[in-house]
Amino acid sequence: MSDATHGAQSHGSDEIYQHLQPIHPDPDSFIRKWIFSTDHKVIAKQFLWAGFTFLFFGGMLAMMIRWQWAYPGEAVPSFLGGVFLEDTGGVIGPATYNTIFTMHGLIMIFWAITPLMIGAFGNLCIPLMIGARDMAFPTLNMLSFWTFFASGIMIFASFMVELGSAAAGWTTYPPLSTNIGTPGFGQTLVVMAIFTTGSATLMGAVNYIATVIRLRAPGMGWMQMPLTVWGMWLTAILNLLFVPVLAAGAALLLMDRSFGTTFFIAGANGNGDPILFQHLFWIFGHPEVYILILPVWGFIGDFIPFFSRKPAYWYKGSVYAMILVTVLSAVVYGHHMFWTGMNPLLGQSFMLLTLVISVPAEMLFLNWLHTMWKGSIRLTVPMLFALGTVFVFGLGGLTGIFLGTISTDIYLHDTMFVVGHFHLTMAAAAFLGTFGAIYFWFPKMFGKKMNVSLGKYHFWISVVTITVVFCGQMAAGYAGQQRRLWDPFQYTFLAHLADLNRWTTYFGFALGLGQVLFVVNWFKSIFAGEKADENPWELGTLDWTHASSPPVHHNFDVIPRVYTGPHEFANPEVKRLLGRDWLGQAEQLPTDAAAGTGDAPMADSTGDA
Amino acid sequence: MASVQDLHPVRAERERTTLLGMVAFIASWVMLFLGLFFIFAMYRVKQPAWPPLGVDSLPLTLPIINTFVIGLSSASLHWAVRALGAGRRPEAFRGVLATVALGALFMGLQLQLWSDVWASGLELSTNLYASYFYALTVFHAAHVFVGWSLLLWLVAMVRGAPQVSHALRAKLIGMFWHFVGAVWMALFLLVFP
Repeated sequence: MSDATHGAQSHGSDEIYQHLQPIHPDPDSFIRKWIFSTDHKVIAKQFLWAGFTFLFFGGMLAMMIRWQWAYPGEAVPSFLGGVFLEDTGGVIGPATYNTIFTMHGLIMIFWAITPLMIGAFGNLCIPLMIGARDMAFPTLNMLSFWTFFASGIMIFASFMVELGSAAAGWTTYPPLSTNIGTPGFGQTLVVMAIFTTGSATLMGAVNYIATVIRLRAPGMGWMQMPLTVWGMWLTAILNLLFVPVLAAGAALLLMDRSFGTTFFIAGANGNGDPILFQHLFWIFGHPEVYILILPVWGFIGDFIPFFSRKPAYWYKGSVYAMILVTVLSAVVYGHHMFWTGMNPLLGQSFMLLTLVISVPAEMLFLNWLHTMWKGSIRLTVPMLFALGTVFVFGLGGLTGIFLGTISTDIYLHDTMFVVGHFHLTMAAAAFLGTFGAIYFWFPKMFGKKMNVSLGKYHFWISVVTITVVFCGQMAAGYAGQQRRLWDPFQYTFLAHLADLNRWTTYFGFALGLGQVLFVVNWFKSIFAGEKADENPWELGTLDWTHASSPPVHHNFDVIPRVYTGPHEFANPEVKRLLGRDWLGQAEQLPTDAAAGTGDAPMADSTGDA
Repeated sequence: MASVQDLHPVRAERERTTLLGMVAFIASWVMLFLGLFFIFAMYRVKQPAWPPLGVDSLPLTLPIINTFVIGLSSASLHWAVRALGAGRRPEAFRGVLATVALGALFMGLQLQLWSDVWASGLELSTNLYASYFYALTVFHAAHVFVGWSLLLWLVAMVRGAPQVSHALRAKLIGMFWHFVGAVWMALFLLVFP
């Protein structure tokens, strides 16, 4: 079989490789070009727009939660209150409140972050960065988007149902999620929507996995891949294996809701067990949080070397750390269930594994810092977002230790501390990381540059407000405020937290408003942005060196052959011969080519420091 | 005789990609069934008695027959796929037809089994013993039905004009059908006794 540094093909012939992905003619009709397209770049944009729409919607729901905690019982102003809450004159009642936080969570996770980060950037980056013309299964890719689209319609539809949309928390625990706890078609429709978007995810996962294994350019071994691709690939593996477990739970729950079975309902016709749902849910749910962060780790793992003009410190270590987290993520799920009365030995095992899984995450963190050390830092907008991500993820990750430790979790479970923790590590990190990716790949996607000043203001407002909001939540949780309370201050022991919550809300509103800067920048740049050239960031990865901005339909006229890793920076030989501090992955130094040793890889920059 | 691989290295490479995709797809389906079996196992081991007191255990005759039926169908399909790959289309046709027949027999016997169990008083929501039985077997049967529909398509392909894509499609359908058979084996061991 082929060796690791010279690509995945057993034949080793570039000639065959060019034929493996023949250049198809560009689609000509509007429908085939923009609606039912099999081009990964178009599908990426479709996911991007869909994700932005739901991000807006989920963000509005968050603003309503914050409103309720700042001004409990007061009518939500303007069109939000008038349109969505007209029955009560804009006031959020307890049942509506349940729907709001439930749908906020579900929409953000499944309909905002997943399509934005994984659907859009997975689709855009994987083929371009590995030197492929498209995904392994382009038609399946198209189906994946439209299945996702159908699930989005179901979500919108669920709000129009008589008894409202889902209202059992994003965790959908029975008995609250049964037809007794949350009657009506809304909850059922949402569970069906989860099932549907899950199948879209599975289609995408099959595609990403096969594409990275089979379609890498000749010469691109596993250890020459950009870390972005590693992140997307490992995420796809987790998606592939664990979304079906959620599907199993969702299917049984649907049966309980619609066919009178009692899998998760205790008493009645035989002793069903609600905790069984929690097992299925968290066997999926814990890997899900790693699904939502691995792409971000990939982005940062690339952006930091790119904008420190230095090779990634211990690239292989970062790869091993990401793999280790992927594997361990399957065996820590019980830390969400410490309160369910499990055998203490089992609890201790989950606790130990949870603390262990923080070690590779820490390794990544240290590798990022060490990469920057003595680097030539370029504080571009993507770099700022990458640094912001490192900051919020580090902060959030540290707080996870208190939740993974049983003794402290007993106090902190189901308080706002948990909410602050997962928002910092998952929401804030994914949010900042994905925006970094947006600014970074915008020139490639649209051939234009985004405005730098607006981008920097957007960054600073976002990172400051997001940190304050979620640290505020952790403070409230530490003080005892439970999560998911419609009016926390009706309880005398929480009444003193009203001011903290109101101030958190102000920062939350500021976070929301700050995004206007991005929206303005986005539309301005798409329509009237300065033209970008092929490689504005001066990088060596194939998406920047061999694809135009935006790329042609078939990406590469000739599939490049890869010789080095993705972070070939600050090599004195390169500086001497080419006068720059970076070398393309598919580039050979003049002396090497002249000497006829074109097959030899460059001085190794991919591995050990 | 030179195989497809020798004559068409590009096609062989593309086929490997498709087979990998199928393996990934089946892996996710395995996880779906593993999830269901896991929950069933967790529920069952906690029960003081199985079947629950007062409930008759499930009939074994039909499931045992079905185990042989589905096992045989995998064998016939395996034979058919190999024949097709080697170009022996009449043999392949007979093999696929036999598989379709055995698949239909399986589904017919399942329907009979459900009918018998339902008539004996165990309906979907009567108790959890029944609910798990129906949930697991219906989920499985749904996949049998999908696989069987693919087999019908394979019959049409093998009957029609030979095309290069047929051998790969047959392999893929074979993989799915064997997977469905394997799930039945697990089902048979866990649910019926």
